[in-house]
Amino acid sequence: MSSIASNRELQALVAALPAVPEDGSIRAAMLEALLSRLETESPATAQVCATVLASHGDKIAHEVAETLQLRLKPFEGLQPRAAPLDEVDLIVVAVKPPELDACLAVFGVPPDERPRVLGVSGMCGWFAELSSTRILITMAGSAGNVQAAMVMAALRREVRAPVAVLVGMAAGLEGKVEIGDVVVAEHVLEYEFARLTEDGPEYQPRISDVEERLLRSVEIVDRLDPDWTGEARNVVQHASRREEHAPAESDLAGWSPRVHRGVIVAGAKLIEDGSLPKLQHDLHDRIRAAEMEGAGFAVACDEAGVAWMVIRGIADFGNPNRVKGWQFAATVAAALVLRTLITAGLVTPRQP
Amino acid sequence: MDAVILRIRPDSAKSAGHRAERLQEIARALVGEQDAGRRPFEAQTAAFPAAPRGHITAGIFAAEIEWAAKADTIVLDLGFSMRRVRRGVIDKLLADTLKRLLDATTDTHRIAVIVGDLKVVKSQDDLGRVVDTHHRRDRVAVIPTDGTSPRSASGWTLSDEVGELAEVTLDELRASFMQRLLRRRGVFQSTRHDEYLRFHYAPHPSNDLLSELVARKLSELAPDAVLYDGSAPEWLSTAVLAAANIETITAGTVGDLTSKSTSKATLEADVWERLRSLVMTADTSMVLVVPLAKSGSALSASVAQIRTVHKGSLCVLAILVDYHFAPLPKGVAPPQSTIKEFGGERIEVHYIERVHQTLLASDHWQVLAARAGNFVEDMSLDWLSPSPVGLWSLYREAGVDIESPVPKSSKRLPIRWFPQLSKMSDEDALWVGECLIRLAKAELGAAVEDLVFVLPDEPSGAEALARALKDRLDVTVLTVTREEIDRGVGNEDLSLQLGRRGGNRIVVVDESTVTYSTLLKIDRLVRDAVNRSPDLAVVALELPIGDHPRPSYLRALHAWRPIVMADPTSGVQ
Repeated sequence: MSSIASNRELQALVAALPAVPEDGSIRAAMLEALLSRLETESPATAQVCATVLASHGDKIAHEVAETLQLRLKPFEGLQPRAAPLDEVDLIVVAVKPPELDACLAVFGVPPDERPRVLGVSGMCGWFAELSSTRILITMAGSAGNVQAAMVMAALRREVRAPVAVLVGMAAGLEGKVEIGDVVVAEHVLEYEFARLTEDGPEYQPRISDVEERLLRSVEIVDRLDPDWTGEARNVVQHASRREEHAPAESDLAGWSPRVHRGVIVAGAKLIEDGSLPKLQHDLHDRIRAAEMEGAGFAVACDEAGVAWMVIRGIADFGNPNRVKGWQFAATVAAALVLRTLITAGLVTPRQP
Repeated sequence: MDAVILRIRPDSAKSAGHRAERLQEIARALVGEQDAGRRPFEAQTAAFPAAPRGHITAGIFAAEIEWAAKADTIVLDLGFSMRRVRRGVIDKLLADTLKRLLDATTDTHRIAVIVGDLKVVKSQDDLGRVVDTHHRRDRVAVIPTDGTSPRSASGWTLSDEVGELAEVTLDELRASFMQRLLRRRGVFQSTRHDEYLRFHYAPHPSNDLLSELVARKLSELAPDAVLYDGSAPEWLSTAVLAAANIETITAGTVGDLTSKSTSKATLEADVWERLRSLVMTADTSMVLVVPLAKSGSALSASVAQIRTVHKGSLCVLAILVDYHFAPLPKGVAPPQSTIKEFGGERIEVHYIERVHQTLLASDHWQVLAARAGNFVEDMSLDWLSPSPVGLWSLYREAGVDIESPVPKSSKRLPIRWFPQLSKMSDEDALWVGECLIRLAKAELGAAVEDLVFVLPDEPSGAEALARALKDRLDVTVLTVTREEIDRGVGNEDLSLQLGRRGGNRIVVVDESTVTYSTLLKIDRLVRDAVNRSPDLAVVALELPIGDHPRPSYLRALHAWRPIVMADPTSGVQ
């Protein structure tokens, strides 16, 4: 049943229940339908209703409400997980708090909104809706390909979604990208697989490919939403998050991020030695960014049959003198690229 | 063998036409046998797809033809409505069957062909060509069911009894019509803006008996003209115009009758002139046909409008009347007419059948719900799905109680508040069945002839729904027994039947589902039979508990997650 139809029936049930004859068991069924719809639409409201009915309702209402409370009880403390919410259209995974904050800000989740516990995965999530796309935003918490794969596997047990997108920051290849730009991966290279020989390491990277149809329009984001760069500046300037070494107002004023398609390398090493150009030389001409989770994320998604993307904002160049001030802003830009694609209806499930 | 009866029917109308006992009587009359106590003649029914794709296998019915040819007299019963099948291919199939039957017999055989709305088998039809040109054509008699005279071959004199037995009587027509009368539940806007009705009545789209019923009534009343209201539903105007055509009576709307010029009339100029000229003659009689008479107020307005121009004889034919409109003491057979006073004039109102039409008070819970959720329905509009208010009204009628039976294999507690759809009436079952058919058509974007419905055949289940789908809604239905479902072993008949319908979309139907178990088991049976999953599953009610895998192709008319389970230790049961 569509959400609109469900809301209409909700209104109908609220209007009808006081007038339904009390002796009829039809009333109990209608009450269950009402509360279960509420449970789907707004678990918090369902819990409030159940609490009121359990103490003030008649015998039938009391029984229904008390049983519903039991169903909701395991998730007390944080907002309860409603069973049907385990199905969304898209999962956004961030890795670290600045990246999560950027995603929540871009997708319009209020700073004071508390997350829901996602089953026994140890993770929390925020639910948002954009252009009829139901989105779960969550955070892995630890860096690394193995951790990203484990997080995706755990998430899959709690939430069903046909698409997942890893959104965050990365080191960019100086000369090809600018700080604050966005790189959308066309391939992710797990580059550390290598044969160590006397002549030095022979890299044998493993490649994960993004479905081409998800990439076709990424370089025309400006045309899909000409205002997206202004929106990026706006989100950063008005965000409640304040970082050390955050970009100066003057830097932000001149910030006009661009979107690049390219190869992203993902390994266990945090690159701070300026070695990214060498990796590009040795491994793949189209390398544009480096990070630490994309490969594990991609493999886990492929294993689960989930369409995936990796979108990274460039926070530094992986040099010895790298600063962290652009992590939030760069991720805002990456999240805005995703938001623009979703709004245009271009992020869709894997084709059969 | 003296005689055999071979019934040929489309899949979607296996039960259409005369019942077995009547066919036995016809066969007995044909062979001139008086002793009704003798053992019955052998009979077989052979079915064919209602919407065949391309040609039908040339050898179809070979075994049946070989079997029938052993008897001296063969009753070939084709007494179904050709309007329910794709005619071109089926015409050829029937003609081919008769030809092969004639080829297989000798000059001593006789074949009596019972025809439904083929009526007079025309020489230009495929069947008519065989009847008129086959070298054994003198061995064939054609017996219509509409009361017209049988056409028998030279040298084969049929008794009057044969024609009388073959005729579908008015009462039988009425009963068949009522069996396919759809009664929708919901909250319907009455003609008065502050009045709401609980039901909406309309013949099922496949119910093509109304024109014949009206024609017979018109034949009985013998009016000079027949009228209907311009705002009447299309099913009524279609039936009235068809009936008037059969009886060669002038027909038009009340507005046509009272309009002063042809430019304002909906009729062709010559028909309008004829209608107007009837008004000028004092001794002309007219019949006003209305869909349903309840309080008589709308009827009264129409009568008053007619009386502004027509002073001659007038009576009313209401297809349906409310019980309160024509009340009768218990046990008294309805006379099918009543006298009512309109504007001081007593007018006879004839009717086909009485029904319950309930007015809902404005503070009734159904009206409150419908108004709050915007579910008040306009009776003049076509509809796609039932309103939740209509479904709640159904649950109230059928009852809400502990779920029973719960499949033993599921080892779960029963749901405490479970709508008892297994107890719904035949009228409600017809409506729910039609809702499920419409849901399937909309989901698959397919014509009903292209759908084959597979449903569990369980004596304890929603029998009324199964009966409605099998016998009254003219859809192709295949059933699987509970034993077959639980064993999970493919059934040869299902393979054969689904195999024959390669191009059809497969729709699994059940009245309700909780754990999806039955649907998934039928999925397995279908995949075993035709190597693919069903295209769709439709249920009236989805009440999921737990976290069972849900078929992605499932659609439900109504769904919610139950909360309370019946606890066997609490005494609730």
